Amino acid sequence: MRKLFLIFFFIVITVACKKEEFNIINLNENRITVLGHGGMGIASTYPMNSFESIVYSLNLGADGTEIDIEMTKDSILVAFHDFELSDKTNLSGNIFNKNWNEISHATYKDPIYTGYKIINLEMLFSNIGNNREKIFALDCKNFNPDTSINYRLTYCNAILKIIDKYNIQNNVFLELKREDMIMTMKMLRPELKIFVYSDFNNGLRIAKKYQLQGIVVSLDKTTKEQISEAHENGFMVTVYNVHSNKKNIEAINKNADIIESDNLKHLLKILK
Amino acid sequence: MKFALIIFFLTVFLNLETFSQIKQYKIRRNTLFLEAGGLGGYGSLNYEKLILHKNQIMSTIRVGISTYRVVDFTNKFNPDVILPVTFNALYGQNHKIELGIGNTFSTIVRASLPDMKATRTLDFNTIFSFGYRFQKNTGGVMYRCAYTPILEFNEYLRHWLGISFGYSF
Repeated sequence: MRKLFLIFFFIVITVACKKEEFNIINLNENRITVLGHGGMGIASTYPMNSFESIVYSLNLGADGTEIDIEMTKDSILVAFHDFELSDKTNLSGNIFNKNWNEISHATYKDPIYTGYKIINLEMLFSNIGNNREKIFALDCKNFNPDTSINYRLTYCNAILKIIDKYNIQNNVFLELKREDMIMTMKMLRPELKIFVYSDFNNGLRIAKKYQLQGIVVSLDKTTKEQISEAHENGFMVTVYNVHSNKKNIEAINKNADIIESDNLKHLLKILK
Repeated sequence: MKFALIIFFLTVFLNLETFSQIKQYKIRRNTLFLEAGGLGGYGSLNYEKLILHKNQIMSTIRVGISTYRVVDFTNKFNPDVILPVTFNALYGQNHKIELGIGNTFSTIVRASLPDMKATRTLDFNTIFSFGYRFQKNTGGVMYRCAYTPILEFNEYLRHWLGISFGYSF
């Protein structure tokens, strides 16, 4: 009886400790770049895009992180995800309608009692030390309805100013949704790694048209075959909406090149 | 004589009535409970002490503890600590109405300007509770639900709710 129990115990421990193995085939030298989603993701007690969330994800060992960026009226790039400030902070209105000094005191509403502050990219890159060697996927949110060349140039130049100042051109991916913004950025700095943020078919079309680095797609809406098709065309694929352990494994098995995970600790554990 | 008898019987009757009202049970003064949501933020472990009891009115003091994380963003052990302290007035026998006021002492580790280093700050937050609880004076299980508005940093009003489950002893 005792022997049986020991054998059973041994089997349970072996199965529990067995490291999952993956056969990854992609354009990223068959490895996956692990990025945090806005730092530690949507379910963390650190608000997405806060300094704390971004730096914690880098300190945990992620290859880098995705950061959502919006531009103020006075051309300051702010790390923030939503259209409305009131969705996540104690202020209201839109970032593109305000100057930085009007929003610099904004604090995130959740979690209660914490009072984490909104930050701009200058504050981030000037204070992350060696973490500047990590990868940053800048998800460019262009909520401003202005499509003029003037606005596009201002937005793209604000990004380039940060990239040049902190010498991070080799470790930045730009994620752009609007075709006019892609065109403008390509015109200003063709060597930058640009990903189009779209559904798969439209993304593939735009990536081909502008010779981009790749496509950013929702994991739920993309199949393994589509990712293979992107690879055959020479485009990398970044996936988001990766919220759980199961989704992490699904993203790996679909051979994504880059995963922006909301469950970073698990993804790091199974890949590293 | 008649008058004397009436007085005698009345006295005995009233005394018996009085004796019957003497509580034969021991009032349990301590309660431990877990609160989901509520004054600790997302949840807290709490101790409550009965400090005053008269008829159906009770007064208690409650101290809780909670945290969001034990390591800070630099990945070092540096826990956030949230301590709600309230004074409560309760009314009722087994089914009680609760009114409370107090303060949450929150000491949270944040990145602070100018160098964004991990810095611990202490903040004060005025807290209130308006709720219902089932709690027998003789002890045993306790259930509670309350509307727990929080004046965060004594500046922003947050509407909040708490559900508790605990044991009195």
